[in-house]
Amino acid sequence: MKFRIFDGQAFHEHGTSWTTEDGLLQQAHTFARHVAHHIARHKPGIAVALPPEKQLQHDFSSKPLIDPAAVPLADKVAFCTTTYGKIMASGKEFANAKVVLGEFSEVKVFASKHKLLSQHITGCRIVLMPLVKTSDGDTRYHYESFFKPGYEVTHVSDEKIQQIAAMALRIKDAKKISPGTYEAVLHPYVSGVLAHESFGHGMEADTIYKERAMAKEYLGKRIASSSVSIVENPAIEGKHGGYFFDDEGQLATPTYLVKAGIVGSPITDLSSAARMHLQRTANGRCESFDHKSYARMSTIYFEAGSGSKDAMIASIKDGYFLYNTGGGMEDPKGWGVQIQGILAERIKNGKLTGELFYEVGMTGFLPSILGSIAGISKEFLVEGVGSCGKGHKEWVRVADGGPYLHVKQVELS
Amino acid sequence: MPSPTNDTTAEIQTAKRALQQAIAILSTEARYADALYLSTTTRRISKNKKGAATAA
Repeated sequence: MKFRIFDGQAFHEHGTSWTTEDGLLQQAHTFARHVAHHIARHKPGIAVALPPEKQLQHDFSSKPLIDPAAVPLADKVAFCTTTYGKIMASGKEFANAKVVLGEFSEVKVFASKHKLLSQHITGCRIVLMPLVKTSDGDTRYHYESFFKPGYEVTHVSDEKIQQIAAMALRIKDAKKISPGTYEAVLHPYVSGVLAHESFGHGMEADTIYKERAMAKEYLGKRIASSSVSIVENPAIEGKHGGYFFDDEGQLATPTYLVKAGIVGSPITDLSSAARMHLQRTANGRCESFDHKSYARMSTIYFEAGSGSKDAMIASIKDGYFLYNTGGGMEDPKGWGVQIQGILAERIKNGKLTGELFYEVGMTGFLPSILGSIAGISKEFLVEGVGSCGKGHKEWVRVADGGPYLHVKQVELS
Repeated sequence: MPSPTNDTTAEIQTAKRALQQAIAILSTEARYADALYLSTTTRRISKNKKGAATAA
């Protein structure tokens, strides 16, 4: 349980793991007394006005096709064991494989003078990761992850499992890329990380308020062509980053961080929205009852376009297809792109050559990369699972993805 | 706005009642007060060469 009191200038917060009703009310009394004492001892500072609240009372819940709580543990262990066996049986070269099945059930209830909201969110994820040994003894892996609100996530076809295993075998002989500037097609797994790490973190209003984000210089200005839009959307159903309302009782709705190439409004928590006079978005999130809420992403993606992946590849004389990534790191202050662990395949004369490159890094200045987007596919994918920190802490579940992107110039090394 | 399902559990009803009473206490002299109840259960099952493992 978490209590907050706003004194007209700042929030006072109190987190407790006390679970009995009497205990909680005692904690509320003690906290209210402490805050009143604090206010009486301190001179008033600069007043901040919170946005007005609407009356709201709603209850929300996920809609899993198969409730994970209704599936016996033995069946879940059997799924992992069987899937592991399928991967290992598909080639002698596999040194190991890792199959993970995770599930969560999350209940949140929010109350203020005007709101009383509840949500029950369920989720299941699987990670499939075959590992191979190279001729010089290195271990390499390929992985894909999947998410659904229920146990239906385990309905992965044998064909898909074989595809993942086959890619790991191909990685065994992948080379190191020659550093340089290249034309590239980004898979949705990579375009999603670009949207999240490189752009989204820089659009967190509390970070902008602290003068730690270059995005401040770009608000309302063009950063890409009119075909480029980036959406932060907790309301997209059945995704790992989704919810019905944020931890400050704001109902989930999509926010355009970039609309038709123009940088839009930042994502906000209640405090940053009030201090910066910004529109409140449903992004006030906390890691736990004993952490404060910050402006955080949920599910972020580039909006789909009208192009196609195949046409993008066919249009490139010499470049790379970027398949997957191990993740990235935000740089809101410098808006530098840092995406690591990319698996790349050479494109030559409009065709994929089969020549793979492992552990490729993608760097560059974000506005330059967004400005060189030349194509956006109609194919669209938000599939995976992610956990996002603000810097090195404050972990929350997220998702990203989007369309394939054709980028004219990107630094790969 | 997302579609409400309006089905709740005993846990949610209890939390709602406690939160409403807490808000009445917290907002006596405050401009604004809110309260959040959070409860998450997780389970993780993994299988690799060394065997299968579960964690709650």
